[in-house]
Amino acid sequence: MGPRHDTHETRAAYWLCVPSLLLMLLLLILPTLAVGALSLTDAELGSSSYNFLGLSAYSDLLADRRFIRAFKNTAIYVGLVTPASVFLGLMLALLIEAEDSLRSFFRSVFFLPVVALVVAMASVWQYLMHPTFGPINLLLNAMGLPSVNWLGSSDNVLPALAIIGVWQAMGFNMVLFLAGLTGINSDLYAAAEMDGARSRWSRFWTVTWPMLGPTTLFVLTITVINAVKVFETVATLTQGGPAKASEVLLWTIYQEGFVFLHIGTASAMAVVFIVVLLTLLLIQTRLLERQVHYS
Amino acid sequence: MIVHSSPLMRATRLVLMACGAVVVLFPFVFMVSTSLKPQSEVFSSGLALIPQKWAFVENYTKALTRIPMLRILWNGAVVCAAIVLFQVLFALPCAYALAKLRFRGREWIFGMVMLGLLVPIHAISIPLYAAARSMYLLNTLAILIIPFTLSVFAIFLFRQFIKTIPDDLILAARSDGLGESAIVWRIILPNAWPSASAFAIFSVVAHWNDLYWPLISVSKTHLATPPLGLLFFRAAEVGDDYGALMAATVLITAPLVLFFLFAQRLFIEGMTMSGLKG
Amino acid sequence: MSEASLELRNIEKSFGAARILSGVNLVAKSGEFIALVGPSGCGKSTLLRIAAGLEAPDSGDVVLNGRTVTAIRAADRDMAMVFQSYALYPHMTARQNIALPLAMRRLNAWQRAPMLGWLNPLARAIRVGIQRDVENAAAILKISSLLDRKPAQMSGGQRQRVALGRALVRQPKAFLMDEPLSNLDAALRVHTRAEIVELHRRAGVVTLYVTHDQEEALSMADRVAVMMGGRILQIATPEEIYHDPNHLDVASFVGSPRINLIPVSVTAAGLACLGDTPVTDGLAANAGDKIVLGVRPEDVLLHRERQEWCAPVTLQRVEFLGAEALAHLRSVGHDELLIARLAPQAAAAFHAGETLFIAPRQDRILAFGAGGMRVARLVGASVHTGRHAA
Repeated sequence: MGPRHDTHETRAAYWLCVPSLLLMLLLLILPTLAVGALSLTDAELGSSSYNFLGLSAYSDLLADRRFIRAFKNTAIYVGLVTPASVFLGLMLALLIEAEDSLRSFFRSVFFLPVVALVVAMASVWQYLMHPTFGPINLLLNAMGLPSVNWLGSSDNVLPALAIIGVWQAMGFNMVLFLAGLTGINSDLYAAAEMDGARSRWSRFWTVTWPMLGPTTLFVLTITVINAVKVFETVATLTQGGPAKASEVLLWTIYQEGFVFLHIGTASAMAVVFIVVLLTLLLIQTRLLERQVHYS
Repeated sequence: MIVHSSPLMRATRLVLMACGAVVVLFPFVFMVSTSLKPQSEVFSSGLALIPQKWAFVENYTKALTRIPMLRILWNGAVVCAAIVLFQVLFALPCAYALAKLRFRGREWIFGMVMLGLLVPIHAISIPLYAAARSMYLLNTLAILIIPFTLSVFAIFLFRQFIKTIPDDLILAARSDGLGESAIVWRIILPNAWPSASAFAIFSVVAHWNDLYWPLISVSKTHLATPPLGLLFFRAAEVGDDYGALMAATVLITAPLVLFFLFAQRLFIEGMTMSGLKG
Repeated sequence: MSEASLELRNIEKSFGAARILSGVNLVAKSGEFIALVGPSGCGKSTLLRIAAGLEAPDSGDVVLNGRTVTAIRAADRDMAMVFQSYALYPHMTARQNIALPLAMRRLNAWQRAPMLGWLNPLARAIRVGIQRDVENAAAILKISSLLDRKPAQMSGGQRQRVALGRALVRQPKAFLMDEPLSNLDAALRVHTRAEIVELHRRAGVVTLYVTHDQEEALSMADRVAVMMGGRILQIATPEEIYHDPNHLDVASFVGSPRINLIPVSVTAAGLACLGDTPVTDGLAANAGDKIVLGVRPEDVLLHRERQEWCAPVTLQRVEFLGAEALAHLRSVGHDELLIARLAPQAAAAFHAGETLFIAPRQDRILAFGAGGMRVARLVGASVHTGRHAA
């Protein structure tokens, strides 16, 4: 492996990487830098004059009520969707794992929402949640319960969107948990049985739950990150309303940047958005490194 | 395995799963059922699933004509296919270089790939839009494709996989006189097929679903992708014609769902590829 | 003779269309160490799991100390198992791993709960007792210093001891071991063999030990059960299995290097010939029967000159193994490959390509007839058959 081989290899490598590197520059690096730069200004789309605000752009942002509200709404939405879809995903996975013949049938059924188009299913949910003739309220009435104004009430809109979010996400989480479950060494269950773990409950606590640790962490992270990125349902159904109760981060960024054309402000929001996602990913990596145990 | 599943337990499990299935399928069932009902019945029929008057032709015609539905579906297919093609085209050689070749700067490039994984497309949409606008690329199919031709995720994924390919295979190819580029397409691609097809599915589903970028970059109906097309349909609809809306959703959802039913395992494995991320 | 401690009666098991176990019978006496040996796929692990209660037999019974436990679940049978993969709980320390079976049995669910369990004085007292038992077991296995480590922080040999400790600490009525040594490297394996035998002797509990390594089985067990194709072919002491196998398959499975098998033709009553050369007589066989003679490499003598009861062979090569040498031979005219064990000095006298004469020790010849069954041979006044009286 003399030096001649090295340069040949190096040249070949660069040729292979050049298209990707170029694209990375144009589609990733430059835009990221641009967003960073724009965030420090009050630029408007279409006009060429702008002022340089520096970091005061961020302090303005933190005082911006609209942004704070978007942050809060997104946090509430994430807080609603995550526990429910992770828990349900785990429950479904446990149910399916124990099943033999109908396993793939149920797995496909529960995975179906993940495959269906989000915007389309959002429209379906809009029909289901219609205050007067939507099937959900009709069912509630049939059971003697009052109708709920799902998407039309500012108190209910986030939970309503969360229901749609959970419906969509639990199948995905279920599949991830299934993968985690099948990865558990079956000898461990045999050992637990020999050790006296008689009930499903004690088997779950002794073997299943600890061994699912990394998977659970991963599912949590994925769910949270996807929930933070919620956009399609808001864009389709509520457009941030009613009364701005469903203004979420991405929607606000979209509005600021592309409707009101304040790309400076929108960029600042985008930077915060990136930072939030980054933090979440970092937390996951850190926790994962601490908790990993090998089997 | 331990055999302790009493019939009662299995029955309980099946009942629970069946309930879950009902909840999950509930929207789909109503979607199809409502798409067959005329507007008047939608308001009055309550929970009845079978329509009294069949408005199949009416609703689906509206769905197909109020917006150029078939054209939109076609756009979706073309855009997604093109995206995947380019993604693999660019990512595979780079991933191969990062996985198997030794060269200076390799760690830097890989570092950039990892950083790229952290940046979501939404965040950088603004400058991309501004650039597209200034290049008069808005409202073209191209602009729907170009920003996604780079997939750092693909590079990452393929690199992981290529690393497991034995070096001997490549050394043998080299001594047979194959250049590195040929190695990528003649040796690596056939071997990486499972990984590539799983990624393809993941990418197709993600981009078929994407609303954000088409919403910003395209405003002409005939260039819309399915999600955007549906939004246009909703805007074009007068009043609460849920029947037609449901018909439109059926048409838009059908392709992927049918695809899924055909290739279930492939689908599930592909979509949870994101399971290898991070 | 003490009464039977662990009995497997007529065990049948199939998985779908595949018949894994056919009518398996095994009686292990109190305190006995039985090695269950056979090639992969012969059903030995399945048999062990059925004994443990992890699998249910299609028919047949498992009887422990006179009590039929077939319908009783594994957790209630009071048997301990050591797995090939050790099956240690990765998230627990060695201490917690060894303590778990005791905690499961002596504490109820409330007492085991993380917070409440610690507050209850009764639970605390029981836990103290558990810790003492854990430390005793750890001392016997010499892993006291490892107790607070997790499995990932231990070597294979150390993990294996923790697995043994987990089984030992319960003082069960039977030990079941499923190839516990296969994941260890060769040197460690030999060393640990002796330790397991010693542990068994100390505990005095009936042990069923599954392995695919015939050397391991012969060296460790009171009795060896050779299993093939879902049946036990023979169960006897190691010496009997080695010198007095009742089936061709048993003879060829046990012993390394493999026993020499020579197909011969029976001419006049009882006389076996390799081609024209008579090799042995006194066989309980008729002219025309198909017989395979078995002679172990150490029971074969090499001569320069033709003698009585000798067959001609060509020396292919000599393998020098330090304390002994192996001569690889090919029989002239018949192409049988034979191996002879020699002292190194003797081997040095021979050269590759030489024609020599091979003479089996007549008192050590084994003969197998139709279906691999052992055929009797009359030698002088005594008769060598397939079985010794117990």
